[in-house]
Amino acid sequence: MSTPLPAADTGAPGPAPARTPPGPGRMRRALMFPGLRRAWGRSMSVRIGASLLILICLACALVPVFWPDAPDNFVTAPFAPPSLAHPFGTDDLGRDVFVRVLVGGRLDITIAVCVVALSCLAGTIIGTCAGASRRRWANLAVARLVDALIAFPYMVVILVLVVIVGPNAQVGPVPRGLTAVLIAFLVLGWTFYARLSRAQAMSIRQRDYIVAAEIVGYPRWRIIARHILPGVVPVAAAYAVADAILTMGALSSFAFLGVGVQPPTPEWGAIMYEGRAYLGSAWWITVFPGVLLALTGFALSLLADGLLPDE
Amino acid sequence: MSEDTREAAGGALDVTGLSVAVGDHQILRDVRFCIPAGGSLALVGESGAGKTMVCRALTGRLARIGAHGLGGSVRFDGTDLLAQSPKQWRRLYGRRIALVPQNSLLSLDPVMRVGRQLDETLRELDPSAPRPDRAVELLDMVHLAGPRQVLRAYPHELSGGMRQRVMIALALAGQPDLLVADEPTSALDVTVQHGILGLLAELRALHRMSIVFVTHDLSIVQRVCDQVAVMYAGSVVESGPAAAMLTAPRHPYTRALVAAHPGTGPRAGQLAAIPGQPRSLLASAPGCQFAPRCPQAAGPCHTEVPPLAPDRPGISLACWHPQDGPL
Amino acid sequence: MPGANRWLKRLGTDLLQAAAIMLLVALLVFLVIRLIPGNPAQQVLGQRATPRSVAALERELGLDRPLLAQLGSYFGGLLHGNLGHSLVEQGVSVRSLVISGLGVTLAVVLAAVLLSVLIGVPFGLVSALSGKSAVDVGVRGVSVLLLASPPFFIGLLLILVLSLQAHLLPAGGWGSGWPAGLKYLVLPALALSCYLGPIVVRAVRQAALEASRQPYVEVTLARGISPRRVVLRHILPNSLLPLITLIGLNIGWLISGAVVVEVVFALPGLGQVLAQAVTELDYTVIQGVAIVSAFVVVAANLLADVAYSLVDPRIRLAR
Repeated sequence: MSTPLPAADTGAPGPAPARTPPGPGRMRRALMFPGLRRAWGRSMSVRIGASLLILICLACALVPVFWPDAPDNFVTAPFAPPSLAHPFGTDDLGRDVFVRVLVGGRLDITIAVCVVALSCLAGTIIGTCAGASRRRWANLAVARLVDALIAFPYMVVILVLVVIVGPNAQVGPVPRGLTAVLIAFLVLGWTFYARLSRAQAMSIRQRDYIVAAEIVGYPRWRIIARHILPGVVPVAAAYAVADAILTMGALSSFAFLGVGVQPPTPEWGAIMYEGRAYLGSAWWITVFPGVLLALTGFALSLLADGLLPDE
Repeated sequence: MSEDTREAAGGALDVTGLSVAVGDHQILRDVRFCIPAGGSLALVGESGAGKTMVCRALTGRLARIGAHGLGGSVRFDGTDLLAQSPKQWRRLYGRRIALVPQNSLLSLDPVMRVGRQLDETLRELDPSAPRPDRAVELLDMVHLAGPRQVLRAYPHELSGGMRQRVMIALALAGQPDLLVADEPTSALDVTVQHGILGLLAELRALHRMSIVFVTHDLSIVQRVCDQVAVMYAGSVVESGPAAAMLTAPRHPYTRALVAAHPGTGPRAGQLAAIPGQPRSLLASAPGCQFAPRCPQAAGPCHTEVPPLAPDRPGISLACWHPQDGPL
Repeated sequence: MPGANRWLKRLGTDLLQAAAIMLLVALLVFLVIRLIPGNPAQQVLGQRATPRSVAALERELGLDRPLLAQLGSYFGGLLHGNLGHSLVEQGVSVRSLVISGLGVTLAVVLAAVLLSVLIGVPFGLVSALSGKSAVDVGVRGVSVLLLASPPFFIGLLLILVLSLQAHLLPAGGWGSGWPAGLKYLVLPALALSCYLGPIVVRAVRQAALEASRQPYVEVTLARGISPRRVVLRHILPNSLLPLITLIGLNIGWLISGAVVVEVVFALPGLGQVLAQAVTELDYTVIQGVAIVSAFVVVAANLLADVAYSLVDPRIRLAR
């Protein structure tokens, strides 16, 4: 068997990848992902991922508006297999699965994005401050707390937290039952970002330009905000995209367990929960939401891969 | 120790017109030198001169970096190395041509004991030999004390000098005709260097191998090599017997190199430096590559590349305005 | 053995850290459980219980004592491995409930790890070494797709295809005995490995790519060693190293995933124990599950660290 080995990088020197220098504008630039347009042009996976994602989001947002069947209406015969009128068939109560899946998608995607954004924000700030802190005890305390929280399998924690908050609590526009799950996700979610940013912040603060800034006498908050944070943000953002995929999956998992979203609110996991008894006879109720879930995660993954080429 | 009974020492190397490009850049242009069987050549030049690329050409490692635009020929005992397929190279590796790389720490598998790596090489190249003994023999040959401990050690546990001796032992395991040493002592400090150079000189005499010794350090050239080829910007600018060339070089670059070296240059006064920067791979000037930095540059230097032609007995030179006189 | 002292010291530090984390974990669990609304004694006896019997039960369970005293006996019990008794099911110790559930869950997790490694490593290697080819793109594409699909969905699909349509494997339930009980493990482990597998593939691919770019690979080839041997004896071992840490890091997710998969396949694991306890508000059981699962995660990470330091000679023999 002759196994060809991959060609190593060409030794030829090329233009060095543009690196925004540290400085006040860097934060703004980092947040705006200047590479986005370049990334679109450069990588096929970004194009596919972004297009797919936009397609799904648009479909979830717009199609139900124009679709003849409403998600809660008992329209036709239950358990109708997929057809032109009902591309995903109908469920046990005669509702059109297609429109339910799309409406459910609105919920899943929005919540995942919100949860991840909030966790990322909170976790990154806490982690960066801890990592950049000059007080050793603060740094260590946060680290141990984060370690302890991360040690719990999230499933266990969330179930417990849901019990505490109460499955029927409601806050604002958030659908009944979801509040508890959301709070639980937030309580745990920030820890990963905290651990990541703390490590990153600790490695950045060793660098010469930070030491120089400290010697010159820059105020601490300024060093952190203007110089350390911009180095942390890309790493956290990278993780955020992966986290979004896992969060959507987790959200659906909880709905599937009957925790969180209550019927008749459509949501991918909830629809699958309702359909699982009929898996053998009316498989379309369970399969299609899952397919959409996988596709969305797939699109996000492609997007992430393309935005942050690792080789 | 198995008797080294080769009647005719192999290892004659004839490089003509070797040109190699990687990506958009021409790394080697028309490199030319030759070594008789059993001879030894030092390949000298600054970083970026193309010395490592020549090593890659000699050891069949051009494909891995995406080299293309191969021109010229590299004849080793009649075989054109540039035309060898990977499968053919496998028969050459270790048995006819061996490599001693620069960084020994990076050149050994960090999670495998040295003994096993030596074993692996022996099993491939010399399957009949009783292995534990042969491995110890090889380590003795490179004067490594406590060979059994060395065999049991991991690469990072050995010192730089010991590791480099191991690399030499590995290279010699198959009794090659040509040894290509790519700056084998650059990563070592001076006293250790001394030992390794002595070892190479001794082994060369013992095994009647040809050696190509790449270095940027002029002072060590004469310890191991009879001949020198000075490279600049991808071509050989002057080549010939080491002694003659280093006492009376004629190419302005060689002269500057010798003058700049504290050991070989004139004793008194300030250290001479070579003005300007080594040529960038991105820009290549028409005409002689050294012209932008050459104090003698005039006329045809900027427009026509000087060919490498015999100048004095045994010495070849590529220059339109060679210099004579004290440095 | 040189460096043994340093290694032992490192081990000691790791153990201490793990112990500190466990302490914090236990404390957190204690506090959080106390936050659950409602009176456990009341819960157990039901709405129609008289205040006096509720108070009596409270005294019996030690719930009327000051918080610190409760904390003390809690930790005391933990040190002896005593997790208390179920509030709902009389006489059943939490420990026995948790251990029986843990056994099933761990079986699923371990089987999933095994499957992921056995399938993931070859695919990762092939993907890395085949250059920018269709194989590489295919493997990565499938990996991404699998990673984006939550394990319970894969589980449902597997049931649909392999159980209900093809009748190859049971759609759920659990049987003991070896190897007859094995068939109940296959689908759940397969579903769970669809989460870990892609991660393994990605890590092995990355490690193999990096390893193959190292100078020692090139130099070893230039010594005449066959490419096949280089792949198997040099690239592969170096690619496996990061897996140890990776699995340790992912144990938490794996256990969580296992819990969901258990529901899909109706397995009597930790998930079922927890779900029931949550429904019945059986506080001691919830507490026990939380502590034990966290303990498993911490222990797994510690083990992974130790294993890694033993396997990588650069760390094992560091001066």
